[in-house]
Amino acid sequence: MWLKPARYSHVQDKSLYILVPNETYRNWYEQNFAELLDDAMRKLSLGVERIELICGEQTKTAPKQAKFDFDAPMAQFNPRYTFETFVVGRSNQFAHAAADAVARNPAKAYNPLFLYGGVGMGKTHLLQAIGQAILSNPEKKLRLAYVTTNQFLHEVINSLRYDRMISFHERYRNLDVLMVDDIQFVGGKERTQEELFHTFNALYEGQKQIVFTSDRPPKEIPDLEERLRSRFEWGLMADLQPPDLETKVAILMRKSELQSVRLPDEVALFMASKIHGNVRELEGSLTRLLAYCSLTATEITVGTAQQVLKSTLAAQERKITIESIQKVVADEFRLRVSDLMVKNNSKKIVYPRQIAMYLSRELAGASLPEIGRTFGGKHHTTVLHSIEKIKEGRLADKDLNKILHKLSGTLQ
Amino acid sequence: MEFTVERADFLKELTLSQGVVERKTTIPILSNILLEASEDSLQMTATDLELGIRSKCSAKVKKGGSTTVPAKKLFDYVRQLEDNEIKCKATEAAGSSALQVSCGRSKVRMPGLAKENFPVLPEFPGKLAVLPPAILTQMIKRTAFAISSEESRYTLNAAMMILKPETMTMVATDGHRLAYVETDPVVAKEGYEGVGGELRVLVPKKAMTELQRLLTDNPSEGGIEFGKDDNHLFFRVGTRLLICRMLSGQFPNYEAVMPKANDKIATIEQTSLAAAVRRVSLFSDERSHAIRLHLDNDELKIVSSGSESGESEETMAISYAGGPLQIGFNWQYLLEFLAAADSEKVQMEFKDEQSAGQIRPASEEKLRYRYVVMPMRI
Repeated sequence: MWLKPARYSHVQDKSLYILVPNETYRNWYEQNFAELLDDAMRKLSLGVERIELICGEQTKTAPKQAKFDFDAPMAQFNPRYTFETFVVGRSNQFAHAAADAVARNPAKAYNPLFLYGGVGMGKTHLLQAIGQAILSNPEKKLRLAYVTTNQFLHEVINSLRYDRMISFHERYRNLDVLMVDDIQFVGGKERTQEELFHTFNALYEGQKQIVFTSDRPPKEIPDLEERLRSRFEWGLMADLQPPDLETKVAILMRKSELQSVRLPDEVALFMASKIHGNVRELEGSLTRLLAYCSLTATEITVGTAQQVLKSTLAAQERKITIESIQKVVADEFRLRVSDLMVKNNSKKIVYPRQIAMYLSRELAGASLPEIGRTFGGKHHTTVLHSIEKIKEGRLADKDLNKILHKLSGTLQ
Repeated sequence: MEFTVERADFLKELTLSQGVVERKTTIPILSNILLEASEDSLQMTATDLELGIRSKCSAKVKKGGSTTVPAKKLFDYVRQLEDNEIKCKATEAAGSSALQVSCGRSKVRMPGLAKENFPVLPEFPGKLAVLPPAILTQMIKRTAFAISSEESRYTLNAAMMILKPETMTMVATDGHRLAYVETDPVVAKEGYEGVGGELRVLVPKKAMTELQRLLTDNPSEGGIEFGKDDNHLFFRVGTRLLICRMLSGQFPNYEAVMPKANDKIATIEQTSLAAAVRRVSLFSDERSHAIRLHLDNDELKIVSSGSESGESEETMAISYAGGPLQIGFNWQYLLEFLAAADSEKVQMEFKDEQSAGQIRPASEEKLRYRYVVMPMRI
């Protein structure tokens, strides 16, 4: 009579929970059966150490007040940025697969997801595609926020200024999905980093999905607190590389298809091979070509393409050479180009030389021995050392980082 | 400064300042009231930096000037004075100012703070609209209770007022229920001078309360002049001016949550419903305030079951043909509406047990009043 109503409830933390109808039952069980049950459990060796009895009435859920669904997603998406319009190639298939997995199973696949890649590689496109895919699932009704780092920063500032930190926390910590674009801008903003850190922890602990994009890997974001950096690297990092020729052709075809224009294969191939750099430039060139052809009612041929894109192509042709780097660096530090090549180990010379070597490697893609030769016959290990030194220095030294940015800006 | 003032007049204006002045404030001068005497009147100003009130009463001014003294103390003292004529004189000695108040055989000297440190409140920038006092009073009564007091979402700590050329609307919500009231463009137009286009402003809860207070004790006949500058809202009621710092921010999209397809409609007598809910509420769960409504075939059953206090049940005859429905509500939300509704019968409109219910007066004249309340899952 006493045993019959007992039901198995669940196992948690090595405790076995048994459901009994009420308090009386529980007392009775504890007085009469407790030892017996414990013994039995030990003999069965189920990995259970304790037995807890819970009363049936306690499991009844309390009435819950429903709320208005005012919390429309804090997200403004560009309807063009979906997975369907994203052209997958070898350079971005990993990032695409990761994003797709996250969109299908938020917080279960990869958390956090950190997408990085250069300008115009499709980071924002992928990010918005994730967002729109998640929101398009009406059953789940996930709360999602998509903000740029700049928006996040301004919200922190305004919340501090108007004393609305509580509402800020409430907003961001009750999300199911947080997506932050261009996270590299958080570098050097201490309070924003702190808020981001706490938001991150709250969401991560609650098993909510977090996605970041950046134009460089976390390691290279300057002035980023170590605890944030390590969190960024916690989940999956996926990079987006510049597209290869085939992908570029595919992008051009897809984009012209969207505008219901047929782009001849040879024109697509011509543009893809001539335009280096990012997808945005590629799209811009295509838009220009299509606009020109439709306005002047000319046929799209390689010839017209050549003519219309003359200026773009000319700029593309200007390749960065070690010589040009040497010149720019020498100018920056008020030296002569020949100074960089002499055998002189004074700091005034060594430092600019290291910078020039670093840039030659990064921007001109020159090999170590090649760099060594052009810098007055240095051994390739010397070159490697110089490059490593600048690479590390750039992480810690804000000024150095600034100089490097300025120099590469002048060069490109 | 030296002036003589009628006790009754003085007291009335001091009373109005009491709601604005904060009892506990980190800035001492904010617990003071600014007195400024000139020509034949005495002007009084009180503020907590968010809200300010400026009012006037006639006085015989011997010597113009100004000072600030603790508002609560002055009010408590004047309230207990017995003679009709109060003489005030500000003294300035060695950098510290004081106010001497004498009335019949009573006399007091209160230390004051220099006027220079008192915040300067903006002047009335001119009227944008004129609002009829009686209608506005009713609108505040119907919405103010639904304003949220939780700080987490600050735009809900205010009601939204929408002024249009012909109508005026007020909306307030705390996330669980929403009160919406709009004037009828024909019937309630009398005394209303709207704005061109549309103006949406957030009126904080405290400003709503104080405005209501100004309206209940309003000797002037005319309408309320409404004005606005970049940072403030102004309500001028006769000689009194209420100034409130504007809340900026996004009020939630309330239109989206107002039900459009609630087709299970019940018509119920308001007073008996309120009485029944009140009785049943005594035995509801004390934390959740949940009660349950069962509607079926012209009958309403209201049920509560607190785990300890017992179970309670009421049945009443209503007009309802929408098929059986069980829905849970927080009884406080229902009672607050019923207290504000002012209607013989109310109409409840439901869709199902999970969707928001809408309650409204069964008949309406000047105001279109809608109350949307989210159910409780029981």
